[in-house]
Amino acid sequence: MERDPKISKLIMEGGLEPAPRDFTSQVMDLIASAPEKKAYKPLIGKGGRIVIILMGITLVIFAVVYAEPGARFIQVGDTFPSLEWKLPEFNLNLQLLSKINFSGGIAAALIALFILVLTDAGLRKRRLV
Amino acid sequence: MDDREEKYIIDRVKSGDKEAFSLLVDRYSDMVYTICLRMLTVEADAADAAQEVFVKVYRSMESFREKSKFSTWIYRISYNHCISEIRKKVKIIDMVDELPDMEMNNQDVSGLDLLSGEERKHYLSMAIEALAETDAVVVTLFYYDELSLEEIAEVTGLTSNNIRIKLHRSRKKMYQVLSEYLKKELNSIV
Repeated sequence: MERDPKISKLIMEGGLEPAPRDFTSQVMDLIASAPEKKAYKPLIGKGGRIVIILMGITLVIFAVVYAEPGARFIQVGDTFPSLEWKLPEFNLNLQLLSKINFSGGIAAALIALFILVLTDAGLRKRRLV
Repeated sequence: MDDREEKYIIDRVKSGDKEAFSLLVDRYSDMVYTICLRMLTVEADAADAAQEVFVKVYRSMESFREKSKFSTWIYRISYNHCISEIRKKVKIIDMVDELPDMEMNNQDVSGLDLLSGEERKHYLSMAIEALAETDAVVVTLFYYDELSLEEIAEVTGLTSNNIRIKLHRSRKKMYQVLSEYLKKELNSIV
């Protein structure tokens, strides 16, 4: 597109609007006084998150594999008495794991940590967008 | 400052040299302020907005990937910042009255050559004020910074065709405003 010579001459001649006096120093003061925007750094590092996720997965597998045969996975109320979900009777024979005795509190804490790490990963993804 | 020097300064800022950023502010302050003033029209608002733009630019330096020119990038930030400022004030932007097609011949603004530099500047600012905020910026980028239609499209997020229409419309409006003022000026002399 051709530039109109008259408008072009007029605008070139008119120049730009000069920024207010001390503009640069005011900007630099603003930059110096404004708190630095720190990059998001998670409390738990990448390695830590992997360990927690693995522990969570192990806990779930452990709970499933070493559950007593016939244990109810989901307690169905009296409304549907015919529905009784039994766990399959298989055993991976992980003797070492079978000796670990998780207390209810530790198991709950581990699951909470597992959920926390997964949520944090989700939030990180959102922040990138 | 040429492009190579500018790149060197950008790299220095990216590597944490805060003071080097002042050189970039010096280089672009007038253009950024002009964009802000064209869009926000009030000097105090424009000065605040221009400062905020530079703070934003400084904080986003890491994300400048050098795919486009630094000037285009900084103008885009300025333009978008002003658009959001205008939206905050619920000001209607991009409203241009439909102008009757008028002849843009030499006679309309030929009187400009008879005026002094100061007077011409005065009439220019009045003609620019008559434009819609976004059109005034498009005109400045096209005529003063001599950006191409594609570069202006990159700054504003509009299509090249849209920019072409805006430029055509702005030229018409500016000719109309200038010729009206010149006629009045001529009548007052006679």
